[in-house]
Amino acid sequence: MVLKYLIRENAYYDSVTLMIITREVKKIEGVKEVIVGVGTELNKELAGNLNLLTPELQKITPNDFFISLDSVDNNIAKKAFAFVDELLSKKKAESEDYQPSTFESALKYMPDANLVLISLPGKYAAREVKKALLNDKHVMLFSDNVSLEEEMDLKNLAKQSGLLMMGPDCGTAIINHISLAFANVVRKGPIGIVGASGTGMQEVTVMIDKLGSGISQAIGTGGRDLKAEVGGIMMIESIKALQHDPLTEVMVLISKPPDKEVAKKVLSILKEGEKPSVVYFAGGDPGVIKEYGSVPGLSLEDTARKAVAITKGMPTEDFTGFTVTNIDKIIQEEAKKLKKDQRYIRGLYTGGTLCDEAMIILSALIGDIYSNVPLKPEGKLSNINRSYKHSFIDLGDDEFTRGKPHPMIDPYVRQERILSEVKDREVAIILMDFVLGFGSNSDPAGEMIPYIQKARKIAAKDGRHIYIISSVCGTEADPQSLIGQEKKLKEEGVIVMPSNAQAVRLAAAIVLSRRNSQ
Amino acid sequence: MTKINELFQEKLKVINMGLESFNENLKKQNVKTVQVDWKPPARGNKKMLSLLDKLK
Amino acid sequence: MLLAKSVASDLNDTLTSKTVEGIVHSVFDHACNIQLDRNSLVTLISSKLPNYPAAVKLDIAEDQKLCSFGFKVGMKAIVNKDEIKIPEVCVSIKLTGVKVWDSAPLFLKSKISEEMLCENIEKIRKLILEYGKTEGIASILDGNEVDNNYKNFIINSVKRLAKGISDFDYKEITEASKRLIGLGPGLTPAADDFLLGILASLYYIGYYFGNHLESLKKIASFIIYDLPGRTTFISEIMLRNGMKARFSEPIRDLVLVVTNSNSINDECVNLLNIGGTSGSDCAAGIVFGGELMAKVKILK
Repeated sequence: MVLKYLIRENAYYDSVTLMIITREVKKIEGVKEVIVGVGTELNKELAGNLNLLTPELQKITPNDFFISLDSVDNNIAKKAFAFVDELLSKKKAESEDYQPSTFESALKYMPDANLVLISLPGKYAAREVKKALLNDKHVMLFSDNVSLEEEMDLKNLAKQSGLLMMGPDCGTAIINHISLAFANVVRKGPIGIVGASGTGMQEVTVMIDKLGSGISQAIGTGGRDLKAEVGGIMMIESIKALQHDPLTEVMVLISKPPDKEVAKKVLSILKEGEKPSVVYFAGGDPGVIKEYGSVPGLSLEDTARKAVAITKGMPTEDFTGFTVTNIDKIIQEEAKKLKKDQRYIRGLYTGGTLCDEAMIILSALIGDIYSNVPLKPEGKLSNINRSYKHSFIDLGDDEFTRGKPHPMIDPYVRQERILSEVKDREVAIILMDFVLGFGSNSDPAGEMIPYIQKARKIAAKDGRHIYIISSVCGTEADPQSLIGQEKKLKEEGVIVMPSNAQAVRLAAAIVLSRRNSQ
Repeated sequence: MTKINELFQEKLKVINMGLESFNENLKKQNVKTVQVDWKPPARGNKKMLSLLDKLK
Repeated sequence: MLLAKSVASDLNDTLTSKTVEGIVHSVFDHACNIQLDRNSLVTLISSKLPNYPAAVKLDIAEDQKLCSFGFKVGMKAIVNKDEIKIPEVCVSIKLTGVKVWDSAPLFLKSKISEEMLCENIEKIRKLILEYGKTEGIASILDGNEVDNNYKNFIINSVKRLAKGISDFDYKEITEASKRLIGLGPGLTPAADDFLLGILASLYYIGYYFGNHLESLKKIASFIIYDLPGRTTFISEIMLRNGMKARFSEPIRDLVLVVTNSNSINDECVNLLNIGGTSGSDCAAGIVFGGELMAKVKILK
């Protein structure tokens, strides 16, 4: 029989809290009796009748709160009180940050809000977007699983109201220098970007920052904006806005190849504006872009380089090489270490556009690439969990992320995948992207390193050497330090290249060099 | 000036509906933001409705 | 600067043009009590709550919690009939020109039969037991075996109180009430909520049966005779208001429909939804007081 009590002077708890406390404490096995209340004469008398009164409790006033309990032993009493403390402080913490439960009440609380960021389940998202637009607020819609019809509806409404509707499936935006959802911290500068691909924008903004320049705005349109049905509505409105933005001197567009008519529409609007522009339509025909007076980017890195060159008044030269010195030496030496059978590259990517870019560069250099998101239908892997020949896997694609967090946040799927890849004797190189910035895992490199080590051990058992080549998409201002991440990887023997494009070209060069020497 | 261009001149003030991490990241950037504790539209208190029916 | 949606009419007595200093007594999700002196308080409430005596309803979003303004116990408040200021959190609430909620009692000439009245009371009893919260003392209505500490303690005192009222025995009334005031969990102890319900029935159902308001007031004052120090400050104010037939909107609405209408469900459910057990305990008091007055009818 252990009696324990708790007194809080001048404390009040609403009866819901007290009810919950009483009920939950009574449930604890080993608690025989409990009384909660304020220190009135009668409550003390009642406590006395239940043998729960102590001299200290006798002294309290009606304005003090007490709990007295009787348990089988000290440990149970400790447990019960720890629990009570938790309930009481939890209630307090929850109360302090106001979280309205509807859009309407949020609006009442913050009537001067100018942007609504929505990442609700797709089923409900459209409804909330409509509310926001009807209330004259710009929207960033991160949610996917919003229908094409809903997208068209909402974007038309946004256009009529003169508002931004970024999305659906818009994962990246930088507005007024603020990183929204998954975005990097990038220097301010004169380059304005409109993009239909998240990691594509991330890589370009990061490259621009690495080259010493900066961005004015990075507006996302969502992946489907340039489809025929949507007609590029948001891209066009964004381009117009940037054309009127005094802080934007150079424009950059990023997207997968758009519908032909939409491409023309977009490019002609771009032309009207008279600001110089660089356009990356991943793997698309550069001819059309040139026709409309824009400069085509050949890779995300090349796009960034050209945009920066324009801001400096320098010529925009194609860049398809390396910025790393002694690259030929690296290639030849590394190629020697591979065994005869090792000939394939496996790309394990968290960023969809980066994966695409890799496949575009590689297929031009080494031939067929298989994938869960192939460039051609013939390239589709019959089992996405089993690579075949040269394979590039977009681990952020729907098939991998159903019911699981995105690989940019949770490395689990890639950790497991690298181990299975390395068991394939024909694998020579593993390519990985590491994406930093807000939204991403706090230590992407650190999370993979133990698995890289395990992978090497597995290969070493057969006397195989595995190449791990990567690029880190980040800036020094990102929450995860760029230099720190690169250092960790380099210390682990990973070859870290300055961009995704260069990482991919290096992998290709090693494979080709081996082919030639055999 | 269009509304989008106006937005570019203003300080961002965000209503976040969904992932709390987005809200935290905005706070880290000193953005005024409010997190909506959103729940799917309720279907009403069934127990209460059935009780009231019984008592008619 | 915050706007008030409404102000309870009884604050006209409490607040004058003279500025007084108060302190924040307690802060909850939807209410913040400011103690002005030993006997008076002003409560700031969010628009989620119904109207209460001594309350100022703020014009803020329904689900915005008052603690999000940063109110903390012990903070200074500066109050007069035009404005309430809590300087530490830069909050200032304008009261001039604000709509007034009349907290005075409303006695109407009833047209319903006695049978209907008793049916109404019975309906409330059923609703409490099925839908209400019985962890306080509302469970004394079910006539079953005792299942919590308080129930046991209360039943005898409640029986004594009933006898005291029906015999108009002042001594018995005060002794029995002394055994109830301050008993139970909660900021407003369960028995206090129960007594408040009894007071509401005493007045409104007593009036229905033709008792003079003066006799009803006399009984009420004996129920609340020996109040100071017996319960929490908030509960004291609540009971004092009840003694003057001043009740919160949900309580007043319920006793009004009990005595004037044939449908009481909505108002009953509204009351049951108040607080944790407060609403149920109060409703139990209304049932108990109602049944008592229906038996006694005219006070001797």
